[in-house]
Amino acid sequence: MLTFALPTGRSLQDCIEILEGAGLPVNNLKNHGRNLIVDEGSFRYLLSKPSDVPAMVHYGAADLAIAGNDVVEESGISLVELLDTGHGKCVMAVAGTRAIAEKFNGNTCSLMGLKVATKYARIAENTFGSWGVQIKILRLNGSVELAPALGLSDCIFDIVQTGNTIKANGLTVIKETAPVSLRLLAGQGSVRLRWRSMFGVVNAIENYVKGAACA
Amino acid sequence: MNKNPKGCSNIGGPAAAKLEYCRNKALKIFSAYGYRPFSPSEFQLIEDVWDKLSKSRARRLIALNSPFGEPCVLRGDLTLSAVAYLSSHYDDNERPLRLCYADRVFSAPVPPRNNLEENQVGIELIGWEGSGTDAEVISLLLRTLDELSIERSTVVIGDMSVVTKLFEGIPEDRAEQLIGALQEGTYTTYSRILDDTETDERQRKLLKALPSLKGDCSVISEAMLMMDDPSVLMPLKKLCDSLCKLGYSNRIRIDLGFIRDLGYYSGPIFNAYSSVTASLLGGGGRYDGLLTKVGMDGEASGFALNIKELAEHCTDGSPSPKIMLWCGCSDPAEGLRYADGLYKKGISFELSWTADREGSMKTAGLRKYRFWADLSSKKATDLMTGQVFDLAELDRGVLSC
Repeated sequence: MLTFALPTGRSLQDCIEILEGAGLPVNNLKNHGRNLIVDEGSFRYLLSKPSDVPAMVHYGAADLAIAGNDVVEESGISLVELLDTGHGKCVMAVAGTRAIAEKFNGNTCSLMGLKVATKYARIAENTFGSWGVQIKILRLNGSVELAPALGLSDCIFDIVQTGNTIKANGLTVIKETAPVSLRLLAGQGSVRLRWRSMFGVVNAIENYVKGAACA
Repeated sequence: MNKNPKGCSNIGGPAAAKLEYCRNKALKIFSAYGYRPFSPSEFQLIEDVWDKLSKSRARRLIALNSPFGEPCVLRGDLTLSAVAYLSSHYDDNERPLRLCYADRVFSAPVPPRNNLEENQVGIELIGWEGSGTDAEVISLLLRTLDELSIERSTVVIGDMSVVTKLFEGIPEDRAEQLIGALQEGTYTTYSRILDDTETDERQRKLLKALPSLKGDCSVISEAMLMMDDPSVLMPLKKLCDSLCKLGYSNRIRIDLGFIRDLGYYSGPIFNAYSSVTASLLGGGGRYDGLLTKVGMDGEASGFALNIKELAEHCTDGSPSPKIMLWCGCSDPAEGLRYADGLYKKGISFELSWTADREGSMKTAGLRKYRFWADLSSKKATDLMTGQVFDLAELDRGVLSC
């Protein structure tokens, strides 16, 4: 039996679409109700909070997982990224008011000590650090867009899909830093020990993803 | 209560006993195979280690200044210490050299772990032993796992010399990026970089397939068919053949895209995993290049196992004391003489000097000892059944069994 860890919330629908497209059984998964462990054919699906998915794979509770690369990078856990599914596409970006946007057009000295609201503290530090900029991080778990309006931060660092929430809060995307999408993942150990049993599934998902991209 | 620094822990009770059991058992096996113990310094000079490790590994070292003002790191790697020691303390004609160790290493943790220290037990084999070197080291690794009753474990083998060969002809910076992506396990990045790299069709096909060349030993033959010069895989094939002849065919897996992080490996490399939880138990490999860096020629291979992981997966354990000897109302010399007799018979025990007879028996029960013996009355109690009998009977019967 192969076990998948899948994120609950809005990404789950994308995951179901990918798995169904690859020919995996998903009827019970579509109607999982309050069940967080769903057995279907020779597969088991574990449903967990998106930020917990990497740990599920790392600790061996799941062989494979689908999760956003933002979540994996933020966790800092080293997993094997087998495939970019191309689903759930968005970007990691810095957003703020127009006044702050102007600072980004100047040299990086003007960005030193910038107050950044984010739920991605680790990625934010790495990203700004790679520009040689030290920042003050305000870690929030949601509604990050509120922070500049309340004077809590100069800008935000978050994933942006349509940009509507950003606009609605009077902010503008200043800099896109990395593409984000749902990735097919495996644990470092299990990919080496169980590759032959995973291979067919990985291949099926890859074929579906490629086919969908061509269509 | 003392609070430990974050990332550090005290280990006591049954967990500590199990760690000690695994450590001692592994060292006993290594010793039987001719490996001599080595106890390296916990401080290393930064200048001695910095350029011998990969950047990512070197950045995780814990640096500090010694009280003498020398820039040091807490020992982050036992192999470097062993090789440095061997290079300066033995003549060429004394090789091959076999060392074993059980000690701590220190490094900044990688999430989700937060431990700064790790107990390792391992071996280093340095010398000119021909193709037997790698087979000896890997079979000893498997043997150690067997002896610790961790039979449900698998050793995954790759080969750095094969990886180097496969990337020949590709610009150095590109090859570095590709190898880096393989090491990190970001196959999507690997694939993207490869798509942007100019190479002939046959090499591209092989490199494209590299991350999926995993499985049993047949993977080697599969890869050979894809290569212009399959001879580069012959040493790995011979190594696997030797291990299969030893009956380990079900316990070994091949991963041709496997790269270890330390940065000094140059031939066959391997990791040992629990087949049940897929957790990493340890690993090692061939590091001839490291020898060159310290001015030595020849072959070298070794491995280190994480003792804490071994203890968690080991079903055996050190035998806990069977008997508590209450000497609270006896002459201490009499108690110690009796204890000496038990020791000579190989029976583990604990002495109890308290005057509180009931308290002593209660403690023995809490510690799950089978017997409690009163030396003053020469009586023993079976704590499981409550039966009381003469101490002589205990000596003759139960303990002599």
